[in-house]
Parts: sequence; C-alpha cells; structure tokens
Amino acid sequence: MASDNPEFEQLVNRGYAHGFVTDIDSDTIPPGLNEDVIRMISAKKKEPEFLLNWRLRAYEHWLTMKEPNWAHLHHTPIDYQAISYFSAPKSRDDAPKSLDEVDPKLLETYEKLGIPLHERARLAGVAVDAVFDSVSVATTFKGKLAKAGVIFCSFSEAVQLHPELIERYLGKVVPYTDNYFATLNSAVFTDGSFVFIPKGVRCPLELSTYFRINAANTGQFERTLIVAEEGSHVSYLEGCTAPMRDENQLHAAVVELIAMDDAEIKYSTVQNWYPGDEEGRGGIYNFVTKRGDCAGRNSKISWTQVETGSAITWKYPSCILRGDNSVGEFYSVAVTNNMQQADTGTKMVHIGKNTSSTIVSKGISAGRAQSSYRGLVQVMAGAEGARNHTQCDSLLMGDKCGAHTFPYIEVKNPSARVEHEATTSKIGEDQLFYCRQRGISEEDAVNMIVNGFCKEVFKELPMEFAVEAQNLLCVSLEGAVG
Amino acid sequence: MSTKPAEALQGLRQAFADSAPADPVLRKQRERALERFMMHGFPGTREEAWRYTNLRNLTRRVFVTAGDGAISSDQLNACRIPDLQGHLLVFLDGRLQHQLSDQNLPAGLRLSHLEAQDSEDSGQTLPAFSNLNTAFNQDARLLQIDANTSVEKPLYLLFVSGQNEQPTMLHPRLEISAGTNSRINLVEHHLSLAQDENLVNSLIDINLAAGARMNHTRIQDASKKSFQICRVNVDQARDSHYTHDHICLGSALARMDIHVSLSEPGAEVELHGLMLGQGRQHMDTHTQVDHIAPLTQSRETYRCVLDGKSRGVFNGKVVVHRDAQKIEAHQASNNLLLSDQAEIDTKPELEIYADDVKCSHGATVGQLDKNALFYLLSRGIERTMARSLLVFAFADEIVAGIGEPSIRHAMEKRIVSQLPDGDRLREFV
Repeated sequence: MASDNPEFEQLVNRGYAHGFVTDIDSDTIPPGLNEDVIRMISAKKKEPEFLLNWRLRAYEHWLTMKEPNWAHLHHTPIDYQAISYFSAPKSRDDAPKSLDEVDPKLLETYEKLGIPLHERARLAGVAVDAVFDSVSVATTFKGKLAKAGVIFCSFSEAVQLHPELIERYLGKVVPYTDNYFATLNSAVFTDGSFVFIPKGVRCPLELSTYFRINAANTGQFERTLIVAEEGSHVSYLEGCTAPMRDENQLHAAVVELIAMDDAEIKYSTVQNWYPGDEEGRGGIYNFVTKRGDCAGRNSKISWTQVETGSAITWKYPSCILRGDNSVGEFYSVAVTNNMQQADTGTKMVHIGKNTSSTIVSKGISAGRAQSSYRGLVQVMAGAEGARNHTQCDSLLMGDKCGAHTFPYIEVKNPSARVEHEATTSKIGEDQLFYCRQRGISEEDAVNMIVNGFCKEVFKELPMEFAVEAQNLLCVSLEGAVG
Repeated sequence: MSTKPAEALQGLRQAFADSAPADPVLRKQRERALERFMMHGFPGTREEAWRYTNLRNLTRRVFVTAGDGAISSDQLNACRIPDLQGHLLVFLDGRLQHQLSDQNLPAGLRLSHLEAQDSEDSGQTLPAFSNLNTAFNQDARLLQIDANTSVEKPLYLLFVSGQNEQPTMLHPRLEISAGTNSRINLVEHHLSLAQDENLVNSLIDINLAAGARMNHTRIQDASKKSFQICRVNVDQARDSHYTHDHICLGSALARMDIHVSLSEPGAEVELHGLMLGQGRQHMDTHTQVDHIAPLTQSRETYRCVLDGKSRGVFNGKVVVHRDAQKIEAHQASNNLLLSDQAEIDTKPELEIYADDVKCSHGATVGQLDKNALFYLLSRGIERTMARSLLVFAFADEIVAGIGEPSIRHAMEKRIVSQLPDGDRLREFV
C-alpha cells in the first residue's frame, strides 16, 4: 500500500530531523511526536492540503501550550513522546486465538451484561475474521440511510468523499486552539465519525458507532463531527456497555456538533473503558472535548452520558446556545469505583434570547474513587429570558471515596432565571433496612437504590441502552458494598 | 499571574520605610512579611480565588500610612448605631481611641496589645493581604474572654476612617480568644467620616474554646470610593458555636474572606450575609468551611441584591475531610439582579472525602417574582413602591436573622433609605 504513493515513500525515506532513524516496514510509526509524524499521518490518509495545514497549525500551537492542572485529578505525568501516534490494525498474532484464552473475569462480566456469545469474541479482541451479522446489518442499514440522504461514514472516508463539508465545518465549534487535549487531537487525530443530516430530514435510524464497520480501530484520537441542517433530527449513540480491550492508555477525542434552525441532535454515550485494577494500575486516561453549537433558532442539542470506565475521565460536553429559543440538555451518570477519578460536567453558554438549559448530573463514588462535577452556566448580557436548571447529586459508598462539586454561575442579564441544586449523601440506612426487611439481599437492595438514583438520566437513553446501562451499573459497583 | 504595578509597590516600600517600628525583632518580622507580599504582588484574576475580582483600581493608587486623626464626640454619635447599648471601643484610622471608648470593660473581658504575630513559620503560604497586614498593622489588639464568662451586653467595635488628605491604608488586626463556655456578642462596624478612597485591610483571628459561643455581626458601611478587604479566620473547638452576620453596603470594592475550621466534634457555625450593590460597586464574599472533625455542622445563607452596574461575587466552599463523618453542611446563595448591567458570579463548592454526610447547596439567580409584583399592583400599590417592597423583603431575610434588635432596626432603616420611594416605604415596614 505504501509503495503506491511516491510522495509518501519520499517522506518516509527522509528520516527524522530530530535524530532518530525510522525504519517503516510495518504500518506503525515509532513513538514520538513531531511535524514529520503529522505529515506522515496525513499522507497515509491521503488527506487534502487544507487538512494537513490545519493539523500543522494545531501542532505548532500545541507546542506553546501547557497541560492543564486545574482539574481535581491526580495522575502520573503523560509522556507524549512515548506514544505512537499512528498504528494500523494491531497485529493479530498476539491477540487471543479463542475465547478460552480470554481472561475469565472479562467473560464473567459479559455473562452478567447478557452479551450474545459471538459478540463476546469480537469485544474481547479475539482474532476472528468474520464480522458475523454486523456486515449484513450494516449493509441494509447503509442503504436505508442513503435513501434518506444522510451521510454517515468514517471521518477518513468523509475527507475523501466530502472534503468541502469537512473544510467548512471542521474546527468551527472546537477550534484547534481550544485546549491542550483538543489541540493535540487536532494535530494527530486518525479517524472518527462524520454525520451529515440534510435539510428537513428526520434520520430514520438511531445512528450508532456500533454499526460502523471500522469502528474497532479508530484509535485513541477520535474526531467526530455531526452537522444537522435546518429542521433535521438525529440521534447518535457512541460506545458500548461492554468493556473493550484496548492498549492505548491516552484517549483524547473531540466531538463537534452543529445544529441549524429547528434542528435537533441527541448524543448518547456509554463509556466503559478499562478502569485499571483495584490498585489503580493501568486504566485508560480519557480526556475528551465535546461541544455542541446550537447555531440556529429553535435548535436543540442534548447530551446523555453514562461514564463507568476509564481510570481518569476529563470531560465536559457543552452547549453554545447561540440561536434564539435554542435548548441545551446534559444528563450524566458518572460511576467511579476503586481508584477511578472523574472530573466531568458541562458548560451552558446562553447567548441567544429565550434559551434554556437543563443539567442533571448524578455522581456515584465507591472504594477510593474521586468524582467531581464541574459546570459553568453563563448568561450573556443579551440573553434575554434565559433559563437554567441544574440538579447535581452525589452518592457516596464507603468512607474513603470523595465527591466534589464546582459549579460556576455567571449571570449578566436580569431577566435570566438560574437555579442550582446539589446534594451529597450516602445510601440511607433506613432505605436499606426497608429492603432487607422484605427479604431483598443487601447487594440487590443497593443496586435497586442506585438505579433509582440514576433513573432520571437513564430514561433519556434509547431504550436498549437504558436496560444495558442498568446492568452495567450493577457490574461496576460490584464489591463496593459490605 | 500577579499584577505588579511598580509604582504601587514602590509606594508600599516607601510607606514601610516611613512607618517601620524601631524594635528590631518586630521590624525583622514585618520586613519578612513585606518581602513575601512583594514576591507575588497583588493577586491577579488568573488566580482562581480572584477570578472575578479585579484589583486594577486598587493597584493604581499609592496609599500612605495613617497619621493621627481626630474625631469629635458629636461626629461619633452621628455615626454610631443609635440604640445599641454595648461596651464601645472606637478605632480611628486603625488606632484605639481610649478617651472615646468605654473605660471599664466587664470582668472577664481583657483587651491588650498583640505581640509577635507573624505566623509564617506555620509552613503554609499566607494570603497576600494577610502578609500586607502583618507588615503594616499599627495597633494590633488581643481580646480575651475568660472561661465561663458571659458578657451580657454586646461589645461594639467601631472602626472609623477619618478625614485624610490622601488615600490612606489601614490595617486593623484583631485576635479574639474566647475561653471555655464563654459567651459574647461582637459587633464590628466600619464607616467613614468622608468620601475617602482608603484601603482598609482587616485581619481577624478568632479562637473558640470548648463550649464557647460567639455572635459576630459585621456592618460595612464605609465610603463608596473605598476598598474594603477583610479576612476572618475562625478555629472552633468542641461544641463551640459561631454565628456571623455580614451586611455589606459601602465601598467601591469589598472583599470578604471567611475561613472556618471546625476542628473538634460538636462545633457549629452559621454564616449569613447580605450584599447590596449599587452604582459601580463590586462586592465579593468568599467563605470556606472545613469540617475537620465528625459531628460538626455548618449552615450558610447569602443574598445579593444588585442594581446599576454593580457586580456581586459569591464563592462558598465546604470541605469535608476524611473521617469527618456524620456532619451536616447546608448552603444557599440567592441573588437578585435589578438592572441590565448588573452581574452576579456565584460558585457554591463542595469537596467531600467522607461518606456519612448530609450536604446540600443551592444557588439561584433571578428577578422579582412576577406574581408577587402583580399582587401588589392589583392592590393599587404603584410599581416603584411595589418593587422596593419586594426588594426589601428579599434583603430582610438576612437582616431579620440578626439577634440584636437595635442593629436590626438600624439596618432595616438603612436599607429602606437606599431604595427608591424609601420614605413612603417606611410606613409599611
């Protein structure tokens, strides 16, 4: 593949200005980050010039930035030169050959989540070539979408097929100068999803990364862009309840949503990456920038997330409410157990008139985990009649965990109404007693109470997801009681 | 990042050279405090604690240290709270005025000079303004309440800024140590004789021994061109109780920092505050309550009414330390914006490291209740009046909580006079 492209060949043979020589036989770039690596990623993906330039500008800017330290998180410093920024599909040789070789603990979890047998193999990374049903499912699925005029493909595909759309919308919501991790992503992102819903179309299906065939290898720097034109509607699902096998420790994704007049985007996430072992070794660092731009009148963007995985979660899905009467929503459940740390929340920036936003955040901490809600509600001077309601509750399980709340409220308009409520407590002894008295085991009782605590958020998830999310919660909190 | 307007800092050095004490030990201490301050200068908006409060106007001025002012007893009577029967201590430009103050304090209450006060060796970094206070304070006082003493009448501390030619800086410093099971009501009243542009940088340290109770009312009604910086550090032992009521009316820029440590079980704290901003006033309150011991309680209610181009800032932080189980912490921040150009920034924070806790906080920002307004209008009360009435009712939630009736009445009167149609409003309240 590489030899087809003389430009690329040339680039590879040039060697590194910074002293080390590359020998590229395989499709993996050795660890390290410099301009050549970015050029190489871009060349490998046959990207148009504007995109390469954009990446390089981002990289240049990244060099001037410092890693932020304001979050309530503690982790060993990340060595950005130790990461390989491009790797083609992982070698199949070191993957488990069959389910028998997979960690039995993982299988047990799949069992509890009720995942079909053939799916378990795929999720565990077993080297099997057939993608089972998904191919056929995906084909019918693609046909249906094409008929409606919806574009749904991988980001690389979109760059080849619709470069004009990418050029027009990329970085419009999250500019490459936005923050340390978004800038890094802008420089080195490898793939992701692109969704375009044309004017007046109501997307006939729930879009899910699950159905995108190449979803498995989008790598650690994912970039998602969703554009909903006037009057369109789309619901997008990201992630999967089952724990994924993944060797990349650092994840820095960027998600950009744009909603025009009367458009609606619903973005649901279930994140369950490897959280590390009980002592906090290993585990994914997840630094995500997600932002939606309610650019048009009466537009609506709704974020729903269930965060149970990752050693570190740093994530603030936000809405810029520019259009008059636009609506922003954020529903979140963040579960942290053992040594997990989560610093998550949202930003609602009210710019247009009569904009409204709702924030419901539920944090659950168990073991020695730390979970923080960090939110900003900003009402600009021109945002006549802006309305916000924030509810953020924390549930503590165990005396060594922590739950923190950092809500920022900035209001410059007297007609705005902003409300913020927060509570922190543990599971009531009386609630538990009531359940135990009726013969419900302690573990079941706790699961029931926790699910009740999260109900408000789960009801926002698409139905199948909501059921899985409940099971997921039980699995994540296993061992946290008693 | 700190602002370092060279001139202001140079002015401070000059002022220090003019005012430093002769005693070499004390001088050395103060020099160290000044150097610590100089290292970072005035805090800038890049620091989280000063994110919403810009000290630009303050750092543009060069302040001189206070000379010996004078105040007549007529002037004094005009500004003190009329019916407050208490033990009066008058501080003029930061210095205690013996001839104007009550000569005989009740038994068990002792006021003395505060010596050796530099706490730099504790190893923690001190806030910039605390260092500045240590470098410059003039008449630092120690107030001791003996164990089992119950002081019947309130202790009325009147801090008056005199008529000064130049912008003057005052650094009142007070340490209060309340003995076991003692009781005291403390009233701290700040005001100005003229429309001065002074900087008043107070530092008050309070220690409550087991079972001690203190009600601390602070009224800040100083010149609307002045800068009022205040820090209150409270350390509470077993079963002690501290109540703080703060009414903030004056100054161009007011910043209040209250830091309460609930160090032993059973300690309780209540913090209440009202900020009434007009014109271009900027009012900022930061509270921090540390629940270090189990079975401690804190309650906070803060209200802010902002008109004109004023700006209010509230930051309430509650930290529940590990093993501080069975605590209760509640906080509310309610804010009323009356004009298009007013701004409020509020941030109620919770940091919790224990699980058996009951914590809540709430924050609201809004305008007057339309239904309530309509009700009043429908009963023939004109709009201005109706609005004033509702604003007063909102503010009075805090004022009504003040225990001492004479202060409560004085404050209600004072707030009414500031509202449109205030004269007629008096009939109603």
